[in-house]
Amino acid sequence: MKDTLFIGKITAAMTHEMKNVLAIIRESAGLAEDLLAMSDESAFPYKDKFLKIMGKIENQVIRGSEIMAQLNEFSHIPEVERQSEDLNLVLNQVIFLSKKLSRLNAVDFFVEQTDTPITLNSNPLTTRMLIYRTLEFLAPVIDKGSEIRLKALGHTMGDDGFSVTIIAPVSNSFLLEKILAGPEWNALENEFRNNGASIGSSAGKNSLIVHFPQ
Amino acid sequence: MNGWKVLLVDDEKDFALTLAERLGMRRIQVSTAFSGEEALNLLETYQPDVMVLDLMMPGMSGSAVLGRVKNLYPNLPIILLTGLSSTAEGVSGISQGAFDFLIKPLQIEELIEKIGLAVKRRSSVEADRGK
Repeated sequence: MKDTLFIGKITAAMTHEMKNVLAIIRESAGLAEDLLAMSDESAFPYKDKFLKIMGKIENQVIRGSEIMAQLNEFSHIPEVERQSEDLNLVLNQVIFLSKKLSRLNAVDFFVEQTDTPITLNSNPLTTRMLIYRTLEFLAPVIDKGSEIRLKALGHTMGDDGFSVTIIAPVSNSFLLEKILAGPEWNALENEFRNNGASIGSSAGKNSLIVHFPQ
Repeated sequence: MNGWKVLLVDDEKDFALTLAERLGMRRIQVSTAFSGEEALNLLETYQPDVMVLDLMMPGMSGSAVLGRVKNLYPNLPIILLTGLSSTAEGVSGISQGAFDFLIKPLQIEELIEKIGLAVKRRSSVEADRGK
């Protein structure tokens, strides 16, 4: 069994277990809320405070469920070598899974949806990995509080492949040039090349073009 | 919802017992079973209006229980509880005769609504047969 398949299999099983944990937390908080609703203010002076706490627990259960659902979906990605999928959905999934990266670097990621689906046939794990790696490269160097925008493009390189434009706001163009001349950028370019894809910068536009061959 | 009888089948005891208590507070009578085998034994003596069945259980799977119950008690509506990203399992369960499905963690109001719809459907099917 391939390493990635094994990791995916265990992650899928564990997200399923976590789903049961969240279900028990939700029902337990719900039961406490039901009991509180039956009691009056005089019998329990902290009733309102407790109801607010229950609300917070409920919100975190919703948050946790969404994370588990996305992680579970992601865990099945290594099961296929190639698949056709809408690049918009791929970008949305990567953005969701990059929430921690976004928070740690105080930047936002945003997908500009295209009007029609852009169907890419590729290795789904490699595609996600390369988009994530690009975000990981950009997030620490762009202006704090700014937004990295991603947009799927049609055929742009004269072949059957598809591209993604990644617009990264960097207020100092000298800084951008310096970043793109650095060893991290070279390592990223090599990583793309080794996976049959390419990445390039669009001069003066603060944007990168990521290209995936069909 | 007064008097509805539900058989709740889930191997997660804490989940099943807590949900049963909450449904009980809403005047729904709930019996619990913690495995498919236990549920099938219980059905020999207990006639619920609706069965709520977890799909992923050790031993006899929810899917196997669904098949057996539809064979033995074709009128009993079954609402499946399914895991994350497993909408396909729920849809497949409906094609095997389940009434509907819900994804865990569930909203109790949504479950009660589906139980109500299942009870209504069962009553109308039985009334049509009685004509």
